[in-house]
Amino acid sequence: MPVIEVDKLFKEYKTKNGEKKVALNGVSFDVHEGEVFGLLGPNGAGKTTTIKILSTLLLPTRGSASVLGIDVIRNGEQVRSQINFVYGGEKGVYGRLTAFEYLSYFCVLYRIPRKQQKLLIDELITMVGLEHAEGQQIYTYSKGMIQRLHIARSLINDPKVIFLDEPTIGLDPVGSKMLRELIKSLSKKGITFILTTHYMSEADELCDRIVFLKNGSMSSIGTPKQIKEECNDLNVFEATIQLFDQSGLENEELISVNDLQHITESYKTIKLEFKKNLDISELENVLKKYCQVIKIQRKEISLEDAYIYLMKDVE
Amino acid sequence: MNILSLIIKEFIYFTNLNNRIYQFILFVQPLVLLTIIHFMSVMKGIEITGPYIIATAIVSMWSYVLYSSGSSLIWQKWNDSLNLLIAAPVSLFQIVLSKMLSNSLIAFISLTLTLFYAKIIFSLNIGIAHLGTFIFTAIVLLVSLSVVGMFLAVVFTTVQEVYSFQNFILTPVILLSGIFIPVESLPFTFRIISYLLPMTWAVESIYSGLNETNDVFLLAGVSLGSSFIYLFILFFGIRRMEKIMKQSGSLGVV
Ligand SMILES: Nc1ncnc2c1ncn2[C@@H]1O[C@H](COP(=O)(O)OP(=O)(O)OP(=O)(O)O)[C@@H](O)[C@H]1O
Ligand SMILES: [Mg+2]
Repeated sequence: MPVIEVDKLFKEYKTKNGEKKVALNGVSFDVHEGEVFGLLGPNGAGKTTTIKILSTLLLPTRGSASVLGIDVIRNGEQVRSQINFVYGGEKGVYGRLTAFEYLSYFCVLYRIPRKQQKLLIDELITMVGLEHAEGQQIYTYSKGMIQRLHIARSLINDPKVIFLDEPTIGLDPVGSKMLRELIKSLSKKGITFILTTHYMSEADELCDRIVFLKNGSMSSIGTPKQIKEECNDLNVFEATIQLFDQSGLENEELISVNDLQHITESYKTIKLEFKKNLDISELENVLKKYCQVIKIQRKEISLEDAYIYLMKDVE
Repeated sequence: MNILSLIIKEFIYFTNLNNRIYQFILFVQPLVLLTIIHFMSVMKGIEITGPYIIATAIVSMWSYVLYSSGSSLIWQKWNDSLNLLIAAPVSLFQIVLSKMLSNSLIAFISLTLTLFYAKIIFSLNIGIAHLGTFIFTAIVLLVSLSVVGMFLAVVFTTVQEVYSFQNFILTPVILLSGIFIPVESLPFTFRIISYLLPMTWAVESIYSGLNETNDVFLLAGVSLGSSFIYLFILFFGIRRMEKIMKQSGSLGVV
């Protein structure tokens, strides 16, 4: 049985000026035990809305959703002790408390037996690398330190399902690597994750499966590999060139330049998308009209390429 | 018991005695009020009796409960921590209740402080005949203040516009709950509102304890009874509030 079942979720918000805003328009998916499931999509696609519904903080307008076999819309209270969540950003903390005090407050909220609390908190604080700041008031913390604290908080009840809404926002490279390793090791132990992120490489590395949301609807679902294969007609090349006719290149109908980077004054690397299925030598011939080609190679499609390709019609 | 741990945590972690308003209410205001009644008594030649002193104490207790409890949920909504409280297995009702009880504990300290000031600085005779009865009625008063605090916390969070009127609630309630003016002397409509406030009964109960009349426990009972009715309504009210916020997506700021 799947750990998370989402069926035709539909959410409509009423905005202040009386208009209605459809945030989710029939989203359905299943997530299995120990899976890291990515929710990707542009700003406003409905990722946070989905996570809030699943973590019992928001009620959908229609549709059903269950976590660990419990209907989160009707019986949200019953699932709370077994799930937890992190949302990115600096809010949700009490600035005057220390990290230790903050976590010990949440220990009480999650009914952790008093005898286990200290050991658990020390363990979590070490796990997220905050031991040097444990006794410091949270208002003195940096953005990433608060983020680490939220990660520690989310593990306090030994949850079976964890929702992560842009959890690496503000983390330094070491911090985000720590989080990625943590996610990997916990998912090996059977903990299920739903993750949203705008960092495609992170999603590629972590997610077993991904759903792309677009204006509240699902546009693709599958493993990162399957999603990239959906973009097989995408021909991405990378070329290093010495350009003599920039406007000509920009107006060329057969190719589109995605990305122009200057290496030096005269040498540039460009990322190209070839609109027809032509091979590399034909592409080189087209390019030669505008520049001298120093190096050209077919690029393996990254999740980011796939994202940009699949989301290109989003306003 | 978990609710007890919760109250202790609330008391230790969330009592903000660095807040200037609270400092004033708890430590300075009793002094100011006692000074006022002291000079009034000197000018008019009246002796200050127990009820006067207690009245000043109740004003401080009420002010503290109003300011601390009233805002206790709404700032968590702005701070985006209300989400986290609601997502936790402990019910929001329990969390709110523990906050209010912890605030009442502070209010109790403020009562003691007033009595201490009265005795030490102003050398007044408070005249508490039965200490046991007095403490009992004071606790009844605290219970009533707690539920009213809880009630305001929920109203302020649900209808944010009301929150800006916080200051306008302070004095009318002092006038309505019979702290200074006997409720019987109020116009009829105001009297009705008075009797709907559980504090009114508790205040009367304290005063009759001091005056050694025999309706102390009846009045205390009415106060406790109405407090429990409030609590009962609040239990469902808080659930309703939670549900409405979950439907509209207004639990947090984002
Ligand atoms: N409380 C609310 N009231 C009204 N509209 C809302 C509310 N919350 C979200 N929305 C709208 O619903 C849509 C989906 O929002 P959501 O927060 O789920 O997006 P998201 O995919 O998480 O975006 P981002 O990447 O920016 O975090 C947006 O258009 C947003 O404006
Ligand atoms: Mg979001």
